[in-house]
Amino acid sequence: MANEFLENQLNINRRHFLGKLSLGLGSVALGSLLIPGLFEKSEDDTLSSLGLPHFAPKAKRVIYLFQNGAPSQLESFDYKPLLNTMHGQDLPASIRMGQRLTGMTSNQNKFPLVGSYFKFQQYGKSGAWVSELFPNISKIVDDVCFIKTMHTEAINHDPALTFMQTGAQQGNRPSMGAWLSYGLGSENKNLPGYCVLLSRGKGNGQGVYSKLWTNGFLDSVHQGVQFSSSEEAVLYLKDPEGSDKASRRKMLDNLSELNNMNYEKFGDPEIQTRIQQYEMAYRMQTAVPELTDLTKEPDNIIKMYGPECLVPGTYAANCLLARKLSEAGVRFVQLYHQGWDQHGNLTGEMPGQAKDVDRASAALIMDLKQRGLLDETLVIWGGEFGRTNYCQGDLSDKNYGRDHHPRCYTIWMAGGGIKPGITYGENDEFGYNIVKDPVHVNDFHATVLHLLGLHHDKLTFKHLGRRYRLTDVAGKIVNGVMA
Amino acid sequence: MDVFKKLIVNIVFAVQVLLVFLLVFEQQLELPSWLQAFGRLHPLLLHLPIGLLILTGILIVTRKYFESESFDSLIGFLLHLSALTTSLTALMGLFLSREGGYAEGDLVWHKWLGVTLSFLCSFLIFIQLRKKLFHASIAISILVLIIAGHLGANLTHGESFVLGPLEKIEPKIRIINDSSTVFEAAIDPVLESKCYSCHNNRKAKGGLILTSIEDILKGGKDGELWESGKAENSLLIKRLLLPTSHKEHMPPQDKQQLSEDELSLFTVWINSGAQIKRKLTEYSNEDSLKKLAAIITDRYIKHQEPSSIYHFAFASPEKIEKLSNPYRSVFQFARSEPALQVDFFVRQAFQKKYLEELAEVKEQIVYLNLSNMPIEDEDLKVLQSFKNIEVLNLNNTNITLSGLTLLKSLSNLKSLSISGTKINVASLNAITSLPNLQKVFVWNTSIQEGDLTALRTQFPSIDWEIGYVPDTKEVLQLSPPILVNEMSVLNQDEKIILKASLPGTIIRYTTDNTLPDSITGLFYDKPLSASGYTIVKAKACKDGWISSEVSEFIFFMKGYRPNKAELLQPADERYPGEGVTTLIDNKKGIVDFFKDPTWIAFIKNPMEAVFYFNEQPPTIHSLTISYSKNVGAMTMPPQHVEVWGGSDSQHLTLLKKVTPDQPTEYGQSKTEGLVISIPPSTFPCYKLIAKPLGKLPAFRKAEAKDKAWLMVDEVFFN
Repeated sequence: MANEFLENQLNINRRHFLGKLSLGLGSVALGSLLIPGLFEKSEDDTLSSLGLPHFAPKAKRVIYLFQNGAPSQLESFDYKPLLNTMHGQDLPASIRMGQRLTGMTSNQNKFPLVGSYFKFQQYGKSGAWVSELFPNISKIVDDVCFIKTMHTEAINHDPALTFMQTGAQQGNRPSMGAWLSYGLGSENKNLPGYCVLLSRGKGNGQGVYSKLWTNGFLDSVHQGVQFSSSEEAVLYLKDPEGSDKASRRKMLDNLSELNNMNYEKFGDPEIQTRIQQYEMAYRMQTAVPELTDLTKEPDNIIKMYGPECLVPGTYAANCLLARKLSEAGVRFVQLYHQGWDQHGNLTGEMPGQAKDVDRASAALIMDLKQRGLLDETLVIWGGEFGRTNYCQGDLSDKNYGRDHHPRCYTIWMAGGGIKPGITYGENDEFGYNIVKDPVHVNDFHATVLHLLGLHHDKLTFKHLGRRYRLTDVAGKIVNGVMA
Repeated sequence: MDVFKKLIVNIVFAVQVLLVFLLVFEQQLELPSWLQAFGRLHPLLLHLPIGLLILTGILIVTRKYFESESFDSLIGFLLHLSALTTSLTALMGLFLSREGGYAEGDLVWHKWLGVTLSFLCSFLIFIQLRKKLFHASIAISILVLIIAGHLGANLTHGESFVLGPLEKIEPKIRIINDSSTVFEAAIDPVLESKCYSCHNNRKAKGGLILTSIEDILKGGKDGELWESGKAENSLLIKRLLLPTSHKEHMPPQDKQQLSEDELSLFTVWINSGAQIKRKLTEYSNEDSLKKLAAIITDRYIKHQEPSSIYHFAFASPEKIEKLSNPYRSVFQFARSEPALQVDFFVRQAFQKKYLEELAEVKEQIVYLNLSNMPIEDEDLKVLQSFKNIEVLNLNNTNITLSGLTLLKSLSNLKSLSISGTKINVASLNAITSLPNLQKVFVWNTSIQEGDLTALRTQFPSIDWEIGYVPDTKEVLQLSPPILVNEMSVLNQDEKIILKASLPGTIIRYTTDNTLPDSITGLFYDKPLSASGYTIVKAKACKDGWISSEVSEFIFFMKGYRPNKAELLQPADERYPGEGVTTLIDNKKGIVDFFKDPTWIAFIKNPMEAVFYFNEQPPTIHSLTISYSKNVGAMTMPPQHVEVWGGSDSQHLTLLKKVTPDQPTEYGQSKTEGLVISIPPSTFPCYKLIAKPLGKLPAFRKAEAKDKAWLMVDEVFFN
């Protein structure tokens, strides 16, 4: 039946041909009238460029240290002494300007400003302000570019996180790592090109879901591979007892024969993906143990990352693993550290969260640097939005909370192609609105793609009748942060 | 008809005479204004002779399709009309040409050809049709008409009027950096986007060309564009500032206008002297002109990608494909870059020939990563001919001095990583002669910070990176011991296994719910046995480190499983679990993940559960209820728990009532147990009543409607 239908479609007579031809020519003519550039030669043939950067990249790999839950910029890197001076006073309406609040504080009748409970000091040649919660990051500020004017469109965790990771709030679009894997291919064929490592702190947490590292409509080889937080980073990699390498090989060969038969029958590209994944898993059997073996690491590495780096599933262990994965050519290593959502008890929870990540984040930068890898690796540290300059809930001398603030927040980047030791962008003294050089999430994505040698407006995939991009229809490259 | 023709002949004759007269005395001519208006009808009237002459030509060619009698008189009539309109057009054109403002060269040709045409047409009236002379004359007339018409069109519409849209003006390629001038960085880009289209070499409206600085300085027919230092007197600014509807406003109304900041850029630039050669660096950063220029540069100049840096040939795709395998990746820097990046992966899979085979692309390799591979000194011999290598990573390889010596010929080497190798400071002299070396990474070698001082002064152009040096004064805290057991429900005889990850660490622990001390706490030397509900508190200790925080592990003993159970009062509908089964399924809930059906919650109703054992009920010593304690989430221990026992649910006696301690501060979220010991008994039926706490403690600030949850995951019978 299906065949007959196909054949019927192939039957075309002169009348059909001429009819379709005139319709076709007509629409071509109309199209060229409506879109003048329609038939000009396009500068870049997207498809043939896959697997190689469009131009020589500044960074070859990315490690994204995602601080999930939105760490307060006001207790970390954005020093606002005015908030301490005006502690307890109401947020002026001229600053708030009636902008959107979350449902958690929109019915508060007062918005008392609250200054940082933690002390700030300037560090390094660049004189960057860092709070006392991050004593180790304060040592690497001269390698780092702080962006103080990130802003996003979403005001709640899940859409904001999804936006930050996929360029769209609704989910099911490919994530940043998937786009890079699609655009650049994998450097090391023995490992996934995109790895995901999770950890959680003791602070109030927000969930992360696999939609954040999805391949969306791209081929599923580009999906992020989540590593386990247990002793075995990749589960079921060992051959079961009693089976050896040769029999595993034989099994895979036979399996791929069966899969190929199926492929010839149905032509589903996902079957090819599956065959490739089996082959990669086979190679991972040698590549991964080499990676996760910490016995070859020198002693001072443990001191550098802190002893927690030996405890699987901690942020420190993930940072160390991220360095090893990146060193082994993994394009995109995505970390998530949960627990940064301090709506209340901020002074109680934030020191613990900061302690979880401070030493290892700084160690990762230093470790890449001492191996000569920082020049070619882009490291990003930050959350999905910022936190309000006013207090959510009860304000006491010792404790307070902060609500979500999407209008300006701070992230930092270091390494490949980033101008080190600078602060980009300016927000007002209240830390509420951006004054100069805003960086939208789309701009951030455009910049990251640019650093990796990709034109964000040319890395496209046609799906459901239109071409999609990570930056969709927006995105400006932020030249100011690039070396 | 003849009368009409005669009239025409007379008019034509008069006009021709007038034309000759005017041509002779052209220079003395002073046009009255009404004649000027007459002259301006030239562009209108000229279409008549064009149409008539061409129509005549077509008719003559297609003569055979017409009846001949009327045909000849028709042609004759058309020729008369042509002669009349051509003569009048020529006369008007002559008037119009006196107005001036037309390019000389084309005008002269157009004028004489036009006049010639009018004579030719007058001549045609008098020639006999169907003679060769007639045919030749009409052909010449049409030819002259076309040439004259084309020249005329050029005069009014510009030279490339027809073909202009097909010819693209190539956008200028600009590389803007500090040594660019304000003109290059900002003024010219604005001109390009908003003015070039009408003021270029091919089409110079108002005689003005803006595509090159020389032409800009020349100005147009109304004079120079600006008076340096005086924007308000400058023609350019005046034209830009005229009301948009004004005829002389630029850019014309229907074209894209200049933005506010572009206007101020032009004004400020002219006021500051319109310095064409002054570079951006010569302005201070605070200079408003420089700031404006930066904004405008950003707007028009796309971030420049460096064009190809490498000038050697591309390696063929086949060669790259052949050399690529899972353990050796070879690829181009970019599509447009011939430079190759080569990485080696998986130490076990390394083969020496993998490196030797790369000689095929020795010219193209710019980046070579051999880190973590078992590379020996002699393996590097092959690299000697890899002249274009800029980045070489030899971290954690087995190379020594003799290996480094082999790198001497790599004159393009910029970055060398030899961290984690057996290199010593003396061997570094082997590479200091490399002319382009910028960075050397020597972390985790025998080289000490002090060793580098001399090198740093001697070779200041090289960045010697020693990496992380531990601060001996810094004492770190150990991480707490971790639990190896996967389940917190222990089987009979199952041991508790703890682990400290850092080698050389000891573990001290307690099982009596007190905090372990780093000296007096029990020493963990072998897996622990447990008999019942157990709380293990443990910390890790090691000399030279701060003892870890205390980790707490709570264990339940797997007990007898009732054959049947029922809830007398329903659980809260928001967290129903799997009904009463949740209590006896031996599945512990994940901490704080209450939506999971391993949890069942009570808030209004107490938990009232009846459990049945069939024949031969086991001897029960205690019941343990396991619940969540998370003050923040308002899950609290029960207010009290009662255990009843008996032969069936109608005949029960109270065996024990226990009131647990309530938390007095937030504390850590955990799942804890409450053990209710009963006299050993073998009842077939037990009832457990656990009452939710109700009101929350005072320190947990909450609204009056908020009550404490009782969140239970399991009940154990031991």
